[in-house]
Amino acid sequence: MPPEIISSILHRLHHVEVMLCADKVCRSWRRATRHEPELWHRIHMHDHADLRGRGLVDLHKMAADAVLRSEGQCEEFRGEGSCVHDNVLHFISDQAPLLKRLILNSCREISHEGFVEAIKRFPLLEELELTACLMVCSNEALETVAVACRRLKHLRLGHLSSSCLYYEGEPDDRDATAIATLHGLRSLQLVHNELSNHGLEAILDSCPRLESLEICRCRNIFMNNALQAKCARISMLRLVRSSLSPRFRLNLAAPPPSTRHRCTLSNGWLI
Amino acid sequence: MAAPESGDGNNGAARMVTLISSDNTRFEVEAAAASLSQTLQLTILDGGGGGGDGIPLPNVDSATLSKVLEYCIKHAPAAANGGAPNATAVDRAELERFDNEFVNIDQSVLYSLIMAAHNLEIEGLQSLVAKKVADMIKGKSPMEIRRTLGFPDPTPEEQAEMNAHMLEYGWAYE
Repeated sequence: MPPEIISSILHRLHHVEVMLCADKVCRSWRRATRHEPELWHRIHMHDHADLRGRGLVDLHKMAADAVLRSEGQCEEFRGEGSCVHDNVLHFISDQAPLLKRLILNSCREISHEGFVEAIKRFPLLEELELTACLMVCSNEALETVAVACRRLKHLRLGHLSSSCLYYEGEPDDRDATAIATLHGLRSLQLVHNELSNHGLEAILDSCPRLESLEICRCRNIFMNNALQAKCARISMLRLVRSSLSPRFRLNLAAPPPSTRHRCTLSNGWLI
Repeated sequence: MAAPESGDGNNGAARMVTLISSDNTRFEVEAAAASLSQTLQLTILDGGGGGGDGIPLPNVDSATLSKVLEYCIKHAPAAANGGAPNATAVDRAELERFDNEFVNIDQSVLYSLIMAAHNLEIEGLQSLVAKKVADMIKGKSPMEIRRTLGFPDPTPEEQAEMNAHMLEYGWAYE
């Protein structure tokens, strides 16, 4: 089979599958998986629990090997679950200097220190997602991001809902304060964040290029006239209400009609 | 540039070209359909393939060529519209349905089709068969992939070499 065809097939398989199976098909397939950096420009590693259960694969080393195969050309790394820990992240920061997109979802083995050290070495980063990485203290991490990643345009920050269920404290604008220092942001998505209207207003004031804003289940956000006025310039605005917030429920009775045309209906609540 | 002999565009009739398979079967087809092949396109633009000449394709047998041309004839109108930006959803759905059925074929035919699409450089067909193969091998073990694609079982030496490489990577404990 000609190398171009093998490559075309491999491009349509998942990275984990390429490494586990295609690699072992025959010599020419192996050559194609190892010596084609293009195949590894965008790496997506997720937890193959069934494989780990069989004790056949070290997902950490596998993720590192995938990055190595990109020969320094990796632009996107998406890691989910336990396939990424501090050493892997450190390795990526070492081997992927051109990284533009870093997506970490439920990577509970990444420590705060590990994340902060690694993120300093992604000067070209344009997109960052940090979802349910419990050990990373988001507001402090974002302060480092603001200094190290001057090109950041897209941020998604997601916390677990459990904190909302059990925590009944005051609004917390520390994440918002850090986000407000990311002046080049074009899009922002916050999930289960404790920020207040004040925090969101600070972000809107400090990020003049923000054009897409998604606020999901942030129970301390209360859409009033002041916030509405500040959101007027946002072309893609989406708010998903928190089922836990009594204030949201109260607000449901009188949705401001003037902004309806710009907003996405989500979970029955229209701002 | 030589003038094509048979039915040129002046009177609205489509220009035809003749393709000759490796087993000497002649296929007459619209130039627009054959031109989906990058390999044939230049020859056809230069006026080749018309009249009694025909373009010989020594690497493609008649069974495969007839299958390839079935694809080209179906896709030619959309390709003529420059990827069919104004195609309706119905047209696109119809092409998609055709594509799905088209690759629903025996593994040996698929393999010949892969090689023909490659040799004739028909971009859309190359993607279509690559996608089909990828779908066929998803979730399969290396040995199953070999069998799916009709590769012979590895020799003991080849197997030992593969195992050694996997250990070298350090992440496979097998």
